[in-house]
Amino acid sequence: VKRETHRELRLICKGGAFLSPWLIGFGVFTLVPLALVCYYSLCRFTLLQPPKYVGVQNYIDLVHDELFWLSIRNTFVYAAIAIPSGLFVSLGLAMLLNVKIPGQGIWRTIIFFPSLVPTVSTAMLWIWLLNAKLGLINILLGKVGIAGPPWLSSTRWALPALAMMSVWGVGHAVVIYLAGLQDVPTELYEAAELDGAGILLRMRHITLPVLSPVIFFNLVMALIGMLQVFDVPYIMTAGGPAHATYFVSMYLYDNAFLYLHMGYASAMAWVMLLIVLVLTAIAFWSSRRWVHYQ
Amino acid sequence: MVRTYDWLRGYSERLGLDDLADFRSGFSSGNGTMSDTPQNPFFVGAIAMEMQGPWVMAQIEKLKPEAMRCGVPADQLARERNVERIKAGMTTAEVEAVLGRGTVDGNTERWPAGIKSILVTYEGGTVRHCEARLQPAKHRQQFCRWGASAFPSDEPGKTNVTYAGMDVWAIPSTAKHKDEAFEFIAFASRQSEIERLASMHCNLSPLAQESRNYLEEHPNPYIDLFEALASSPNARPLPAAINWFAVNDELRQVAERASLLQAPTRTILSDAQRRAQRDLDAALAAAGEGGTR
Repeated sequence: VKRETHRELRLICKGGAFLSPWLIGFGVFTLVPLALVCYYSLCRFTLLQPPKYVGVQNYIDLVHDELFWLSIRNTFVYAAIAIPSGLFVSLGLAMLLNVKIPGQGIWRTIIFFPSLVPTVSTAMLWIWLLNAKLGLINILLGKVGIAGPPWLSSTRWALPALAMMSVWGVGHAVVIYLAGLQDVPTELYEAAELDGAGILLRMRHITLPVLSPVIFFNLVMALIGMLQVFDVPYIMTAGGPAHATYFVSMYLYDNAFLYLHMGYASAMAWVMLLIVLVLTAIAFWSSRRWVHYQ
Repeated sequence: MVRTYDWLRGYSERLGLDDLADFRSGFSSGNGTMSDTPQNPFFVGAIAMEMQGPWVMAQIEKLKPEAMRCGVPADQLARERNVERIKAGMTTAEVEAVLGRGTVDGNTERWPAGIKSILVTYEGGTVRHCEARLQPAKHRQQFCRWGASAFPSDEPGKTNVTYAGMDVWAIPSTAKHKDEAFEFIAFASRQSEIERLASMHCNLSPLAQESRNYLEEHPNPYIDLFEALASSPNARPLPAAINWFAVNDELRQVAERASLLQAPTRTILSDAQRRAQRDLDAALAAAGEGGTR
């Protein structure tokens, strides 16, 4: 018995040793910073001086900060446009790419390719595509008699333009949908065809229900990603014009690294975390009604 | 202040918001990301004038060097390019095969090369040292595509009105090596060192008196004008405030909101002042307690 216990202990130690790089990394780079951010959110902290405990003052200030609410509004509007468009476009593309046609692999590569372009390059590319005078989009719109707006310099168009352009990076979601589509049992389609179901009915009653766990996964990922959107808009508009594209993540960054209000930024980070948690929880709760696991 | 922003919004009112946005987008991007590129609208001539500091000449030299060399004879341009081929140990004949015959004075030989002059020192018939020095500032002005001038003031008779920004040395109270940091600042603040640093940044010297060499050899050929502006009694800095970045952002937003005609100028300024004041009060209160938010 003693030898057996000793052997088990050795196995546990070995397992722990193999796990330790991840455990240490998770602890040092995730758990500890999370705990520190929680503590700093209750402090005044400039990075240059030691943090000073102020209780929930940062959270009270947040409630009265109009720019914070504006940035929340912008973030939600952005997510409200970007998430559904991303889901529809990626699902539609995946379905098209699932059709057996010549050069299927090439088409799949072409759709996935934009996701590999570095963020800064993507932003620079879209700055030019959306340029009011010289941009390809307005030139094409002009060909069909539509005068394109000054996308990025108009308070009305800048936010929708950024949200629409987020569809550019749907390649990853398309790959996940494609993998999901491979799992749809063909006998279900055959049975539906025998019953006289057309393409739309088959999609409505077979493809979407079977694919619903994948749609749910992509929805949650998009929700988390879109509420943290930062890099591309920061390069393209820096929150302008007149704060029309100023997102929470930008306000958080400015407070933390420009104004050195690290405590305030930490409080903002926790509020954002709570918002993401609540929205994700709502998504999970609603998933009971529309997600069907096989 | 109100008149300044009214002047700015005057363009939107006269030209129309959409037309102005169209015009701007023809030479700029949302985040002004072209400012450090050769496509900078000022560098390519899409706009004729802009308010800038002395450092812009360093950007032009890097991104649009031909704009600093307008009218320089082709042989002198070639000479400036070829100077990198001169290496220590080359003979006079080898040097002259590259640069042509220069003006010989004892062990040195000089060539004019547009905005620079090339100086080669020989020892024992071979090159000991070669350098390309900037010509005096006044000489270089004739080759520069742009000139520099103080902005006119809307108050008659008021000259050299300018905004004066500044950089400061600071030692954080929590620094571990305060004495060493202070010693470094003292060293870097000597006239010779601070002028070298300013020249390398294509920036102004913070000292009240500049040396003649500094003014002549500064990479900006109009540095004397910028120095005069900085010394002007009509130079105004942004108020030194603990929340400078926030105030700066507020002013940027005021300019954007005014030019987008979002509200009357006074309303926009009042909003900005209220927010900046609230932020300043909080920062000062926090500083009194030993830290800001």
